[in-house]
Amino acid sequence: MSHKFLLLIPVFAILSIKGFGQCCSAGNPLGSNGINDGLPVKEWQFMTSYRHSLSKQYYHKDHEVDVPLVEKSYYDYQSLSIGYGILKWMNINAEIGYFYNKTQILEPGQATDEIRAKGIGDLAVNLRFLPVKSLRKYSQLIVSGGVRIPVGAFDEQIDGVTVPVSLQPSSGALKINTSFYYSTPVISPDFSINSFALYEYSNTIEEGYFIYQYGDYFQFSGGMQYNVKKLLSFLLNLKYEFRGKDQRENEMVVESSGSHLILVSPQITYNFKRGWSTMLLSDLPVYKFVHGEQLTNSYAVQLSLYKRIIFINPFKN
Amino acid sequence: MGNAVICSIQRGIYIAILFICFFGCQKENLNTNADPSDKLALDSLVATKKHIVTWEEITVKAYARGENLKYEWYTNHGSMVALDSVTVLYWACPTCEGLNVIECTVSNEFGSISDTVMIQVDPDHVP
Repeated sequence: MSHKFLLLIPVFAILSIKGFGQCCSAGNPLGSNGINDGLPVKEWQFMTSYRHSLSKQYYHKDHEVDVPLVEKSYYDYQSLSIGYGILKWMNINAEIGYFYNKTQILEPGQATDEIRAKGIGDLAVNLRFLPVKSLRKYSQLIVSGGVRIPVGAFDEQIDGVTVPVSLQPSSGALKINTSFYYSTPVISPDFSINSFALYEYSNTIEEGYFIYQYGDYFQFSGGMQYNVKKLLSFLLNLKYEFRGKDQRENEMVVESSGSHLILVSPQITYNFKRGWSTMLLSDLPVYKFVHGEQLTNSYAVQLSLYKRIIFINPFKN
Repeated sequence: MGNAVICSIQRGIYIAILFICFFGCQKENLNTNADPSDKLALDSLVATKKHIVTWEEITVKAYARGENLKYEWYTNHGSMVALDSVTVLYWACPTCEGLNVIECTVSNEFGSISDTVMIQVDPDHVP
């Protein structure tokens, strides 16, 4: 396992979990595993991740407020992603996942205890480019562009009643994103710093009476990573997330939408033999500012397992 | 004697014709009154309030006619849970402020029919 490989694992932590304030759910995963260290041509990368995200605090501006009815919201999500090295400077990655549950727990005494949905989420497809293979030894600059396609369930019902949009497994919106990532070692090859920026634009959803556009999303992060004997690595990122205000029909601005978040994201990666790796990472909000009143993310944790494979043609000498 | 018999026969024919006309027409009237909507009709959708504030709960009830009815409920903004087969509980969080639609679709083997009710959701308070 090369240093170069270890250096790029941070991208995973940056891209993999997105929790933002909204009405009554724990948000959706971003839908991209983020690993992009320039897969060699014809090399495959398979990954599965399990995520749990909890939201239980309603915020108004930067402080917590009490609201009736809703106690908390959470989801459990498993994703499968596949990457392939098309060219030396370009690879493609696709990810899709399944929500085992996307749940809203109501306060005791309500007509029901919870509202729950499950199903397939959005499909994410990304192309990653390495315009400059290596600026210095082990440095990486990666440019990525992708799309999220709402192929999943958006009409889940309980007893004939459609569950709220924010609890539907699919976001319902076609989204495009672009990102830049740079990492370089400092002091020693085992210690590196990185920075990352991501912008995502959401198309307007037009599903029957539901006409809605999620606000623009921007993320910037910086972090550091320390590798121990090429087998273990520790990463710490500080993230800033901005989400613009949403819009309803007739371009009506949703006042209780949009947020500024600062999060700390620790991550541990262990590289087994034969190309297997596992990662444990988390997103922990340390500052939250929301417009109006919104349910905010309390934490998200993710466990991943992945492997790289080159399929060898047995009939080829 | 002969005329009396003929008159009786004529009278009987007239009565028969009247009888046929009466019941025939009556049967026709019955057919006219058999409104197809009796097999499937959604008469009204009634909300306890149409102007609410965030987190305020209301119920919406569907009044429908027909057999083997199946109800489906949808809203573009807000939350709903079923209270019984014809009634839902509705509320909206701050993100769902605005003029929202609640739609009920009733269906059976004869087809489906929908109706909507609009609910205005305003802020609970000005922070």
